[in-house]
Amino acid sequence: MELIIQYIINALSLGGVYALIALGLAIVFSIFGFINFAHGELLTLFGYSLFYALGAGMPFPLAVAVSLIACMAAAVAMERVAFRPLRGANPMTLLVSSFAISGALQVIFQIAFGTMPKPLILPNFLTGAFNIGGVYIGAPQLISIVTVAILALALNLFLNKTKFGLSLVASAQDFDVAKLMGIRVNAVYALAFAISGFLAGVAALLWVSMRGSVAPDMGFNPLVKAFVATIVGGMGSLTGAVAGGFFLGILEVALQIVLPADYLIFRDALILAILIGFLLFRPRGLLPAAAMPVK
Amino acid sequence: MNDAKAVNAEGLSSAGRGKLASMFGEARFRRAAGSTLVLCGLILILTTPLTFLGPSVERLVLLTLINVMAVVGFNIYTGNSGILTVGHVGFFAVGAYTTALLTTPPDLKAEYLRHLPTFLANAEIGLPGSLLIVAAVSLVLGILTGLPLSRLRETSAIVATFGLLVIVNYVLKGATNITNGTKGIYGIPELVNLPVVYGLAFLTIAVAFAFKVSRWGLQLRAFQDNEVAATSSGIDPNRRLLEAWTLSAVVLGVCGALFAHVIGAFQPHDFYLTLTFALIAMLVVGGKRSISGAVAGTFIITVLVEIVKPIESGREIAGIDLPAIWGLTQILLSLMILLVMYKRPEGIMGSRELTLHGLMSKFSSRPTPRSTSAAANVILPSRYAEAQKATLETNSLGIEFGGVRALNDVSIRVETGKIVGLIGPNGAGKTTLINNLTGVHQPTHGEVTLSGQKIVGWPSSKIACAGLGRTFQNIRLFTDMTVLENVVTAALARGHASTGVEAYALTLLQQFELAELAEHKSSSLPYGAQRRLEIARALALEPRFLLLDEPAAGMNPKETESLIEAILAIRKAFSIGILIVEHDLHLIMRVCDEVLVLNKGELIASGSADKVQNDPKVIEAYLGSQEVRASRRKKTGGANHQHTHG
Repeated sequence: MELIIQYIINALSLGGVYALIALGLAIVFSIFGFINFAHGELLTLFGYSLFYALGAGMPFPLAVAVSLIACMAAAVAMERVAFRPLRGANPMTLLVSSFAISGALQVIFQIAFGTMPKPLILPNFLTGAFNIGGVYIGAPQLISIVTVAILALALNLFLNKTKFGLSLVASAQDFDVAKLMGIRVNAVYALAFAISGFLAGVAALLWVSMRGSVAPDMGFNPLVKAFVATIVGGMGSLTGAVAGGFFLGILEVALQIVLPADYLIFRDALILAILIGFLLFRPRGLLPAAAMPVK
Repeated sequence: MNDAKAVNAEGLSSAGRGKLASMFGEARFRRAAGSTLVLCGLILILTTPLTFLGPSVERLVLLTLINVMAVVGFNIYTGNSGILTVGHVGFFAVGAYTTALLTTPPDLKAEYLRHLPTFLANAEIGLPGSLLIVAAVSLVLGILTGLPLSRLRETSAIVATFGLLVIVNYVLKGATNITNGTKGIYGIPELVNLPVVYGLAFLTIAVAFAFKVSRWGLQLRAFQDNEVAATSSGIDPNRRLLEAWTLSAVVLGVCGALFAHVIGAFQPHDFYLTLTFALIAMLVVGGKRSISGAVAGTFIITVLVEIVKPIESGREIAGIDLPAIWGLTQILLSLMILLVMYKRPEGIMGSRELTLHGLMSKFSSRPTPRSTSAAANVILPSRYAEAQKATLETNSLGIEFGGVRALNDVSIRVETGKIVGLIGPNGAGKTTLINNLTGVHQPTHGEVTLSGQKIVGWPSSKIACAGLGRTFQNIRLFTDMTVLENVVTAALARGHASTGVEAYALTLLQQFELAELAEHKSSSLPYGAQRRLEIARALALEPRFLLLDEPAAGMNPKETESLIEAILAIRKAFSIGILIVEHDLHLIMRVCDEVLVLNKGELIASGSADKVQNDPKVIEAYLGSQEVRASRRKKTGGANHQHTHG
């Protein structure tokens, strides 16, 4: 019984991280119609920012805040510098560009930070564990679940209750009409990327607290899985992205339990294969976004 | 050009030779063959002199040719379907590992692969056998992966191909018994030489061109341009995607095998993001829709990389296999991609191809007239002559969208030889009805029958082939294809023989005064001509019924007049049934034998045009209730609305 609860907590915490990454991808996708290959580099950026901020002697909360701001700023800058000149281009062009940006950033990170992983010294409350009623719960897992729940709630409130949030939702549904309604296009673009960067930052914080180190390619592995989770959840749908993320977390923990030790090395390959195979039966995903009428 | 092919064809059976000969009767195959010759000739001229410059340059030429082949392989899928593949390097890797395991001497394999299954441990076969096995393995893997992937579209499809690449990499790293994990494989015999690689590269280019103009390639390009119109023209996109995916998988598998035999040793890392990145840069810089672009892009990127490489590492390494710590090369590739995306997202060549014709006219300043041998005496398919009566019926048809009843209890009947008008205010459900008839939407209630056969639940493509041709309110042409290709594609999807299809399409185009524009891009046509082309394309399906969705929308009176004549002529020439949705009541009165009126999803009147026109319910639907009209009449002095508009 304790074991089952532990598994569930693992699945939820891992799924939560994937859900945050997928959500960041989905927000940009819902506005721009492309999936940002350079999203993983935002995770990496957060990791190194945190590493150097802590190394410079900043207290942990301040280091996190600084890194989150850096991550959001980088995301907004990415939109401003790389994607804004392509305004009106078709999504394929944007996707290929993001692919190129991702490639360039990977090299720059390797040159700047070296290829070897660097250990991250995190405060005890992030790495410790609790024992609740005989159930052993890792602090990162617990914090992950709580953070994801709070963020999901906050994002939901922001999108549905604030003017800024509503303008984003309206733009995601029909950008052309939203523009006609007087929504400030530049603000929506920047906002979408800022939220996406923020979510990437939080996801990266949870991710590094689980793995305990930073590396130039640390963003790649979770990103690939989040990519596939996004399409399994349903392209363009925020709820779908969250659902896809948790689906992925559950699948990963389940395989971790079921697979014999010799085959654990194939876990990630198997996860991706299962998710892609799943699309054979539901090509539009779990919770697809509404389709446009055919005229 | 034909002579050369005739020599090649001598080895074929007489049936094959006949087929080949008839293929070259078609202009599109002739042009494809011409483009192949031009491109292969250019490659020869550019690369052969280099091969005399010593072994390291010869190796570079070999690797460049393999890259040409790989990028053309990417183009077979991406160029025709419009879906970028980020995963085909996975097949490249599978090809490389397969041939490495099959051809490396057993005693060498025993050194570092002790747990290899015996059939692999003892295998030492020659290049031809190994390439055949690689092709077969890639074929099987292509089909297996293509089954789920061909159901996906746009971003989902791209992401899934990326997932595939990652899966292959994990497996290569994980299956250490067979692949030696991250340590990789070495000691692969260098079995390939220039003639083999030249031959295979040229073969790939020829296959890519042939595929592009074939039935499958045309259908896939139609899908790329407009999926809804493609399925309504009888095309099953998933099948076409699967074929192109698999073909390009085979090409990439063979490329990987050749690569293995050139470099002799590799690790999983060699078949991952860096190589994918380089190949995609080559693809998009040249232009993803063009085979000539694939070749051009490969050469441009290769030259640039070779210039940068010595600066980057201080030592020269041949080929595109970038050094382990990448830097400048990767950044250069990124910048090249970004530059092209900013300045010319469709790539250097766009969707154009080099052609023999273009080359000739460049050398002889006098433009050679292209032979558009319109066979005027082609008889339209006999199906029309012996046309049997057919009926298209709906029985209490209904559909709901999220609780909203868009159609409710609609029963209509159209017979061949009759023209039925469907009118009603905006939002009445007219287009929804057509979408339900043609399988774009699935009705939630009721039946649609075509000559007694229930067609609800059939995919659009099957309904189109069964005899329902349609046009769209917002014109949906295959925009990047020529006028002729638009019609040819539909005719081929319907099952027209590959030979003679161009002549058939031209006769159809002639009837719509479009024959002179046959070689123009369809998106460049004026509005009225685009509408006519859409009708011609629908007729190429040899339908029993033609469904026209607001054919006169946006037309001026003169264009409308010629449309009316065209519609009447179609009925006479093809003896088919026509259902017209239209707001132009003048047109409806002129051509329709019967008029149906739809309002708020329900059929409120039907009968002759005159009868319907005076039906109080119809007047109310259009102009509001009697009282409202009475008050309006007072204001306007009773202006006579014969002409409603939408």
